[in-house]
Amino acid sequence: MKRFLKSSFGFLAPLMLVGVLFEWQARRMYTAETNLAYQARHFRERCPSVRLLVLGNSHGDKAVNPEDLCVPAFNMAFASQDSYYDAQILARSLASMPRLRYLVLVLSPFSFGWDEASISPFLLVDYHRRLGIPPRDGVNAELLFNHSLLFRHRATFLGDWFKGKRPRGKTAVADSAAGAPPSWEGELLTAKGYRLAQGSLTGVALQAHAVDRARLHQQTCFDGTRVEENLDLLAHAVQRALNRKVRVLLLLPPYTPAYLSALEPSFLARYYETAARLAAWFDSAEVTLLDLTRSPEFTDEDFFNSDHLNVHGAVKIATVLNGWIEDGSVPVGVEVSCTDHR
Amino acid sequence: MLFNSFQFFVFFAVVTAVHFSLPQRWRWVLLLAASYYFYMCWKPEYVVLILFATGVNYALAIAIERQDRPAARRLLLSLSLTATLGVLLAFKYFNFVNESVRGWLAAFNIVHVVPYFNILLPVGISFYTFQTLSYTIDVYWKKRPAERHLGIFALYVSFFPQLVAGPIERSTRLLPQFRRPHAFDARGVADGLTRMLWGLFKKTVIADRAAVVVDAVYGDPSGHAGLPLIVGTLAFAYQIYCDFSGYSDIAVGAARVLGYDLMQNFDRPYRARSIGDFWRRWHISLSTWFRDYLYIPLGGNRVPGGRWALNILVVFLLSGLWHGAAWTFLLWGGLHGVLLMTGACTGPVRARVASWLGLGRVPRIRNGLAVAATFALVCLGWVLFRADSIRDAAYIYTHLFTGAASGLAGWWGSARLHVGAADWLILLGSVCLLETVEWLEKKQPLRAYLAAAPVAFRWAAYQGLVWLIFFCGQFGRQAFIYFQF
Repeated sequence: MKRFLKSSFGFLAPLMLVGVLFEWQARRMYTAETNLAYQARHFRERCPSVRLLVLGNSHGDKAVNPEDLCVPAFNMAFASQDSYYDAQILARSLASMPRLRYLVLVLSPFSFGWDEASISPFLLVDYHRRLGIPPRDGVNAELLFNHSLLFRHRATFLGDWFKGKRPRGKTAVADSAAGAPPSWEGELLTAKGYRLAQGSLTGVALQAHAVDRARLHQQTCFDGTRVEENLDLLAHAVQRALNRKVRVLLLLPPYTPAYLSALEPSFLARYYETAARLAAWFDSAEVTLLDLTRSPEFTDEDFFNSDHLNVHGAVKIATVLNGWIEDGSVPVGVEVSCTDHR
Repeated sequence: MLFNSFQFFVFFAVVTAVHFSLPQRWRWVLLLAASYYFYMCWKPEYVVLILFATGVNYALAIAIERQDRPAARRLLLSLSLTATLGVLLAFKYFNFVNESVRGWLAAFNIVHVVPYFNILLPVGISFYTFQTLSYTIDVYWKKRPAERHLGIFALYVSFFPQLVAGPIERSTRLLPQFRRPHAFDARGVADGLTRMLWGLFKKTVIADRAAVVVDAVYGDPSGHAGLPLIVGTLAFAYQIYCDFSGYSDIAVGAARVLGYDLMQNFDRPYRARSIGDFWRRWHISLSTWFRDYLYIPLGGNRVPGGRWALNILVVFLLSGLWHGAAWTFLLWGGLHGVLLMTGACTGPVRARVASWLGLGRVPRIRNGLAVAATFALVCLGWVLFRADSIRDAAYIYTHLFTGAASGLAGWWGSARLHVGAADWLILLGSVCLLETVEWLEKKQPLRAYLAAAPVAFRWAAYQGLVWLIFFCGQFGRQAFIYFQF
């Protein structure tokens, strides 16, 4: 047995040594921060002045541009961010946002069924490291492994090293080393967390995208077992905000008719019904449910693709939000002039 | 808990360490507890099914042994078969039969009101059911005495390395090993770990990477024609082989580390020279099970030709159905049965043609042609195995050689299936490595070559394999395909 243990050590030692050297090299190569890290860093810096906070997933991060709002705001929605992280971000940052008065919770058709199984593991690390949020189901092996940059980039590490280049193109790791905001494929992540998206899809491309997205959302993003748990998390988050005298808007964002018609009617019905259940727990004077899913004010030109707004759509959303901030009303598509309180 | 998960890695390390630190008489307790924990990690309540199969077969085997009257022994065996197969039928085949009956009755405008059994298929149920049945039948045939130690018998039914996807072990082989003392054997441990590593390579580097290509094609077959369908089918041939044989390698390796020998489940099946040969090399534990417990009792080949053909067809149809409750699996089994019979019937004719062509003088070319033809036939069978419906399979069969009108460049472009060049390179390189290793293993296992090599070379090869898995492996949540059976 002793001999075997010695041999094992002899075998494993060089393996680990090479691993450490690779990790060291990976840390020299992959110095750019991830989008979430970038967003979290700016969020921390702006917390003391934030009066409006946006939470949600990619339907939220492309929908609300804080620059267009009449109060200092930050968009902390992030692609694939589930209700657990929304609730945790609010709970952990509420104390550092003394001026917070408005909370916009963007709810997508799959918000209530979504869970972190659908989130890339490296993002779990970022939520943990940058925002102090542990994974919903506790620390797991993936979280531990993804602390290693070598593990995280193992598929491209050797190629990147060989080429002497950093990863480029469609990747979650955006280059912000030069101070420029992360950008890719017609999108730009601003310093206030808004994911500015330009351009739009039309015709066959839009239809195809709608069908793909609807299928994805219904098949892989809706775990029925999480609905009640997510609803509970959101309700607690809303209550926490109300306790701080923060007004809450539950926003069902607009979608293209192509996307909505590609969804199963039962799936949509469940979405509306669950959102209404969440809103019904609270006083309508404090919590407003705004359903823009079928708003005629939003045309295909306002969408980046079948289910995400582009920069033009975000301007229209800002108009609506400014109205809500100003007097609590939620007019759709009406220009609302608003005093700039920034 | 998947074999390719970190959870299993920790679990196995702990079980191995505790196993060798316990005295022999307590090891079965540890292995039994570990096996039940392993199974319950998936769906705890389904452990009841294993307990039921264990209890019924333990008691009935003892009763069979005690009984002298053939009629009573037969009755007890029937009871065991009914109870054990009944659970399998209920959980695996009820909905399939129900749906089929519903379809047939609907054709006559008869409304069928029996509801579906809305329940998850218990993982590995086909495997442990067949393993338990083989024990009771062996006792009935007086091949072995009934096991009196309930704990050891329960361990035989649920031994974790082979619980959920085989190999389907025989009681005559595995049960005695649980009573035999196992001293720590460094060579055995190293051998087992090497085997596990090779299995992990097959699963994570080849099978899970090939799955991307396969899913792209078989997820929407009507969106493809020609080369993409051929590429998808070839990719599936390697996916299923590497997935299942990779699992078997990890299972055999894990048992070997603990000091137990499980049977070989694969012997380079894509080097088979006929369909019969293929089934002597593919999923050996299942094909020998069907041979010993069904084909031979039916009369085997010592019956007139017509009856022999019927025996073959019955065995292969049931083998197809064993894999899954769907018409595609049934047809897949039937196709293999027909191919095997055709192969046997045309053997003399083919030999004469080969001799006329002068292939007898160049056996390498003759063997190569036989291997290629068998591989092509097996791949045609895989279409049925993988397709979601008979309609999809029919589409693929009728469009395998179409779509060339767009020109070779367009044909080739569509066959890339949106898979990156690096992924293709890794997949093709890994398949080449697998084929090279299997070619070398014609004479002896690769482990034997490596064992004879200098230690520096051996360790460099193992470490290279570790890094290959690390850099090229897909560490998602891909379950093994055979878990669903």
